[in-house]
This record gives sequence, C-alpha cells and structure tokens, in this order.
Amino acid sequence: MNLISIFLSGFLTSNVVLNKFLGICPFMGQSKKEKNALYMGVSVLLVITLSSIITFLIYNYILVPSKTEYLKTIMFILVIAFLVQLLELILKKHFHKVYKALGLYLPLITTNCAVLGVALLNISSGYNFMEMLVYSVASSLGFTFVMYLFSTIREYLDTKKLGSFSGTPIALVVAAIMALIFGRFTS
Amino acid sequence: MKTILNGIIKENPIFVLTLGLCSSLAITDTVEHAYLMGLCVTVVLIFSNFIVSLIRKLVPENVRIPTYILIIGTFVTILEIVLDRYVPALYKSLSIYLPLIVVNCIILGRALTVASKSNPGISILDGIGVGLGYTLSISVIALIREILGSNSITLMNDISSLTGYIAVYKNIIPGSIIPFSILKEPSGAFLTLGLLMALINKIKGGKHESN
Amino acid sequence: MGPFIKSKNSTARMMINVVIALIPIILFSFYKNGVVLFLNGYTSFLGMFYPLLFILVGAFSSFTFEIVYELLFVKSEEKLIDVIRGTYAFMPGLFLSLVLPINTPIYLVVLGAFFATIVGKMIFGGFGNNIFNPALIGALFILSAYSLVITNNGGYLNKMEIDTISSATPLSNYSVIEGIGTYDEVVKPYGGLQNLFLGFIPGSVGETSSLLCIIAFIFLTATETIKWRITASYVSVVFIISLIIGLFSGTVTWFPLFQLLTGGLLFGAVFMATDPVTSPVTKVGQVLYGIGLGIITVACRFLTNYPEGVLTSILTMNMFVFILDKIGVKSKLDFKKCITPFIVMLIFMVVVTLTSYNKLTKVDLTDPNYEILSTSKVGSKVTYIVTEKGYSSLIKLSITIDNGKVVEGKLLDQNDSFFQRVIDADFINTLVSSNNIKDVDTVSGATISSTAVKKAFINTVNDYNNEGYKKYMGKEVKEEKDFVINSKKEENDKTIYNVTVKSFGGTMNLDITYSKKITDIIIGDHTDNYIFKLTEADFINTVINNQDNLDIDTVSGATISSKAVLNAVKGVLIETGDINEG
Repeated sequence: MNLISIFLSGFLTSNVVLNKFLGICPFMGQSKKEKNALYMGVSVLLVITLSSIITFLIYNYILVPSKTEYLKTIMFILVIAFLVQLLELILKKHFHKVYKALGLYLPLITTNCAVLGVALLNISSGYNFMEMLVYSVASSLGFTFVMYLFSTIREYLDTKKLGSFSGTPIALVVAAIMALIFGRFTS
Repeated sequence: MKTILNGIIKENPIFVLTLGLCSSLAITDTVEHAYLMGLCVTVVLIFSNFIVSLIRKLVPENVRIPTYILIIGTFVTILEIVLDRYVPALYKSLSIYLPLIVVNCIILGRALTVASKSNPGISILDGIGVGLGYTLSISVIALIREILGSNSITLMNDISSLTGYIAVYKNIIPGSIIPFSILKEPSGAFLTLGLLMALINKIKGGKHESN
Repeated sequence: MGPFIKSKNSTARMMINVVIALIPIILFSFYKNGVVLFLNGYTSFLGMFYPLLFILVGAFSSFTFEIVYELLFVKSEEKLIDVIRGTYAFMPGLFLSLVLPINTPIYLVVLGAFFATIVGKMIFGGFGNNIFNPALIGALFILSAYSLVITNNGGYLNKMEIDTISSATPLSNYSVIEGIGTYDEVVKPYGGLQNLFLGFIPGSVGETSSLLCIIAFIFLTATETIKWRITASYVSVVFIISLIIGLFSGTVTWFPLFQLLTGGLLFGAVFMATDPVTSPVTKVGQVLYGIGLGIITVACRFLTNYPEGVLTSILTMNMFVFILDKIGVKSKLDFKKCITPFIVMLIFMVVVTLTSYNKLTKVDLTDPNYEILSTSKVGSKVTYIVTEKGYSSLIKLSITIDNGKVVEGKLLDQNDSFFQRVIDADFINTLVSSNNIKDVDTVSGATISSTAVKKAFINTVNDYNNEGYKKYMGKEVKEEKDFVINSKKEENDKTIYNVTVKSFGGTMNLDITYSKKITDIIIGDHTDNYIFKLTEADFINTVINNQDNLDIDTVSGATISSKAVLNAVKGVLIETGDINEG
C-alpha cells in the first residue's frame, strides 16, 4: 500500500473518529467552542505522532526481541501519560493562553482512545516506520478535521430546541451521517 | 443490592453517563462480541475497583490517575494473555478494543468517583452493577444492530472452541428490506445508539411529566 | 440558516415556483419512462403511469411521515392546518423520488422518504432547522444500504433502455473505460451530445434532461427564487476543470460538455444545491459553496469508486455551510479577509485537476483486477488461465494465443448476474475472431461483464507481447469448486453434511441431514438476498420430496438461489452414492 493511500485512508475513509470510534468522548461532550477544538486538535496531533513513534520503537526493538509483546498495553499507556505530562508543562510555561483554554481537557488526552488506539493500530497493521509516520499524522489530522467541523455544527445545534434528541443523541445521528459521507470517498 | 441496581439504571454508563462509547460502538456488530466485551469490562471493573478501594488511603492526590491507570492496565494485560491463550478467535475479533479497556472512561471514572472513596465491599458491588448495566446496554444495541443489519443473531461463535457449542442463527426476518446493511457499518452504530438514546430520553421525559 | 430573511408569503411563492419549474421535468420523465415504453410495447397502458406513481408515492410518503411526527411528537400551538401549509412536507419525498433510479422498489422509496423526512429534517427541529439536504439524506441511506437490491431490479435503466442502449448510465459507462476515452466510446453509445442535452439517456427519474434544467434555472433566477450564484459557480468550476483536462488530452470538443450534461449535475446544481435551508446565506459564502461543490464533484467522479459525485459533494458541503457563512459575514466588513478562502479553493482546484488528469490519462499497463493464474505452452501456442473482476464475481477464462494472435477463448467460470447475455451474444467468439479487440462493442445490458471479458483479452495479449507468461508456466491452479463439503457429522443413524455452494452474490452454506435419504436442509451463511423467495415458495420441502428426480422448477425471481440449493443436494447425493456423477 503506497503512502498516499495510507494517508487518505487514515484521514478520510477509515477516519479515526467516524470509522474506528476512537476519540468519541471529547467529540460528543465538549467540542462546542471552535477555538478549543483547534487547540485540542493540535495538541492531539503532537501527542499521537510522538507517542506513535516512541511506542513503535519500543515495541519493535524492545518488546518483540524479548518476546514480551503482552506488555505493550502498559508500556504504551505509560509513554502516553508521560508525553501528556510533558506537553502540559511546556504549555504552562510557554503557551499559557492555550493551557488555560484547554483546562481540564489536557490531561484527558491521556485517556483519549484515539492516542492509544492509533499506537495499537500501527502495530496491528504491521506498518514500517514511514507508513507508521504517515498513518499517525493522517489519523490525527482526520481527528482534528472532524472535531473542528463537528464543533461548528454543534454550535448551531445548541441553539435549537430538539426535545429528546438534544445533546448526545443528535450528535450521534450527525456522526452517523458524516460517517456515511466520509465513506463515499474510497478510491 | 441497591448499589447494583444503581449501576444498571440510574447511573447506566452508556445511556446516562455516556462514558466508554468508544469500545461500546465498535464491538456491537454481533451480540456475542457485545456480551463478551461486557463480561471483560465487568471483570476488570470489579478487580480494579477492589484494589483501588483497598489502597485508597495510601495514594496521594496528584498521582492518583497514573496509579489507577497502571492498576487497570495490569488487569487488562492479564485478561489479554488469558484470552489469547484460551480463545484466540475472540482475542482476534476484539482486536484493539480489548487493550483500549485501559482508557475506557467507565473504569477510570468509577475508580475516581466511587472506589477511591468507598470501602471494598461497596466498590465491588458498584463494579458488578455498572458492569452489568454496561453489558446489558451494549447487548441491546448489538441485538438491534445484528438483527436488522445482518439478519442474524450470533450468540456463540468465537468462543466455540472453548465451550464446544456454536449458536449462530441466520435469516431471522425474511424479505429483502432486511438486512438494512447500514447498521452493520460504523455509521449504523452511531445511528442505533443515537435513536435509542433519544427514545430513552423520551420515556424518561414522559415519566417526569406524569409525576 | 433557514430562509427567515423573507416572510412566510414569499417562502410560499418560492415553493410554488419550484414546483412550477419541476412540472416539465416530471412530465418529461413520464414521457421517457412511461409513454415511450408503452408506444414501443414494453409496458401496458396502466404501466405507462408508473413514473408518475413513483413520484407521487415519494411525495405522499414524506408528507404523511411528517404529519404523523408532528401529531405524535411536536407540541405546537399552531393549528395543524397552518403547520401543514407552512412546511411543504412533500418536498423531500418529491425530490427523493426524482433522484432515485426508476427501478428502485416502491417500498424502498417509502423507506427513503422516512429517512429523508424524519432523520433528515424532523429530528433537527423541522423545516428551516436541518443541516443536510433531506432528500439527499434519504437517497444516501437507500443507495448505501440497498444498491445491490436496486441494481438487480434493473438499476437506472428502464425496460426499453436495457434492450436498446448498450451500457449503464453514461457516467458508469465512463468509469469502466480505459484512459480518458474517445467520443465513440463515451458519447456515441447514447446517440450523441444532443441526446445528453435533451435527456434521452439513462439516469435517475428526474435528472436526465439538461435542457429542462437550464430552462428551470432561467425561470427560477428571474423570479428570484433560487440562489443562482451557487449554481453558476458550481457548474463553472466543473466546466473549467473538465475544459483544462480536455485541452491537455485532446478531447476538448466533447469532454467538458459530457461532464456537464451527465450524472445529474445540472439537476443537482439547480434544485438540490440551492435548497434555501441548507445552503449559505451570504453571497461570498454561496460562491465558495459552489466552488467547493464543483471541486468535490470532479474529485468524486474521477478519483473515487462512486462516479456520480453530485450527491456526495452536496452533502459534504452541507457540513461546511456554517464556516462559509462566517467567512461571508467577515468579508462584508473586510473584503480582504475572504481572499484567503478563495486562494485555498484555487489550490484545491489545481490539485484535483492535476490528479484527475494524471489518473485519467495514465494508460494502466497493470490492471489490478486482472490476474494470471497459470500458463502452458504446446508448440507455439500459449494458453493462459486468467481471472478478471466482473460485475459481481471473478470471471475465469482460458485464452490461447498462437504467434501473436488469439486463436481460442473459453469461459471457465463466472457468477455475474447478467452474464447470460454475454453468452447469448456469443461475445467471446466475437473477440477471438476480431481483428482489433478494442473495437468490439460491449454487450447491451451486460456492459461491465463484457468489458471485463474484453479487458481480460487485452491484458492477456499485452502480457504475451511482453513475454510475461514464462513466469506462470505450470503453476498449479487452485480449482474453485462449485460445491464443497466442509464437514460431516455423524449422529446416531444420520449424517449432517455442512456444504458450501456458489450462490447469488457469493456463496451459500447449508446443513443437509441425510438418513438413507435427505431429510432436512437448513440454509446457513449466505450473501443471497433472495432466499426469502425460496421460503415463500416452500422450495426446500419440494426439493426434499422430489430428491429422486432433481428436475425441479426453479423459483421465479430466485433462479440462482434455487439452482444453488439443487447443486448442494446433488452434491450430497453424489457423495452418499445415491446418484452417479454426470
């Protein structure tokens, strides 16, 4: 599979949120403010890409040779937690505005299924280093794209009286429609 | 027993708290995957709640989350090893969603809100209740998705190597309007959950009005 | 969002204008899909009115669903009559029926109207509150879930077109053509550009007549009913991109026009993209919206597996309307701020043009749907066993080439729905005896299957010329059996055979119980939509009762499925020795 098709599949047709159901919690709950969605997206992009690289290396050069693949779950989550802490420190010191805007949602990136999910997907798809890199960037861009798009729609929906559909239900239906639309871009 | 019922109805993880949607949408393609995943989550939840509750007084505030994640991670890894050894077909079907139990908001959420503040007895009951609520909820979703989307009910297929039985029922509803194949796809998972939630909201809303 | 800028009265006038503009289109569809069929003997007098019934069912269903929803779930203070008057509840269903293929089963039109009205409109809060075009939501659900059912019911071609026109819709025909195509391959099968313009081509119920869409556009713009900027920018972008591609590939005389006049582009651009509720309000937003639509439509047509493009692009751009309107508002205050979006659009346009041009003009020397299974050589004759992806299955052929010329071609295996037409037309022998395989016309009503056979021949000749066959010499060909016994379970005095046979759309799994004779047949795993017809006709019991003489009539409308069951039974009886092979 060449790199362009991996990119397109990670971004569009096998979109991390709409197709693999990863990263839904922040998607459903808090994607209301446009600017927050962008900050969140960039943070997630950084965390996913870096954690993918590190976990990939750890898995292929430490766990596999020592036949301890079963430790990957714990290893990966530790790496991710560490990276998020690091990001939090850096933002607090140098980009305080962003740190404040993200607030509680920053440490929540640790438990964001998308980060651990992409790291695991890289392994289960058997990618080499370049493919893993492309896929990680593509997935995180796909995540950010969908989050941003969705936040603009959510902003609009929150002004409407939707009865029993208000809140999560309507968000899920919109996600269903978006999933169908994204799925039509297979080449 | 009130604690258990609490987990099923009042604090139902899927329909009320809307936590842990990631894995719940992904593995509801067949009934079997749903209730087995529910079982896995319940087991991890009970054990993690128990341990977290035991050590709750020893863990300082700021290292709580990483510690709890490690505890949950340990149990998930044990589960992964056991499943891979005894039912590899199931292990393959659940793919990445089994290790993703570690970041399942339900388990961490319960650890933070209940187990870290209550004694082990209540924590275990809470684990049973929420786990049961989770299992029942996703089984219902899977039942709808599988019957309407694939025109079948799979009760035992991947773990048949262990139990010796296969229980797969095809063609429940004749005719060509079923299967509505969108329900098989990811889009259908979103659609089913969204419509179900709206229905439950409607029923709850009706109850409030009549009160 | 929503046409709240104008008063209720002008909304009513707008809707009336739209209906007026649709009347010629509806009448044309009645003529093309009803009257013409009757005059040529393809349907009865009553059958002539089917297109009108189709459209009526769509409109009425969406109307009914909305009224029921209002009564049950919406606590409104207005009187029901006023609500009915103000929502134009029939519109989604009306447009839905115009966008679907004529052979969509009526119950699917009703189901589509349900999705269009309820999921596409009502749960968002009703008229004026929806985000996505409701008719297209309905079409999206129906086409995504039931495309195989619709295709097997006849797809987009009406009864006369199946017999007289040698292809599927112009765009699906285009998508199977090698390279950028020639006028003869692309336009001539439909009678020329004038037919495309007038609308006598296969397509969905309302979208074919470009002429009537243009007239509608003029009328609707003159009466200030629709947002003409959207249509203008949408169509212009598609035209410009096609023109550029045409210029560089020498097809500039017909290619851009072909792109405009097919695939329901004009219908979508005039009626669907300009839907007042789901399109931008600001002028700049509208132009950006139209440009985006054009880019995505071209990208879909040339770069994805779904060659229609219009449905996908409108629904995609529906998601961006909020962002576009924000840009539009900002640009009113500060014009410079909207330069950036236009530059972004321009970049996308260039990327899509280049990529499409690249993909279209690339002569694919390696066809990914083609596979050589094995070759053998006797003297100067080289025999290839190859497979090529057909309509719904792999087509297996044996092709023998002697000194550079194809001397023999044999069909080994296939399971395509319409392949019988290819056999009836003696297509394979025509290919063998022709001087130039590329010139042989495909078989009417079985375009994709015959194109696949043609491609298999062309690819094989290419491989022969490159002497690639040496690699596959003497390779063992895995025999794909029609009938396979997977397992045999012995219980007391009976044996249960689990078998797999080829069936409609793939394979069918059966459990056949045998105890001195066949006592039970249970159909398991399958990809077959028509099994229910076997159940309705109590076919299984007929087979069990007549297993001594398997010359049983197949169930009408489920031929392949019936034959599959009979094959399975025959296979088991051969295994148990009750009948002899052959």
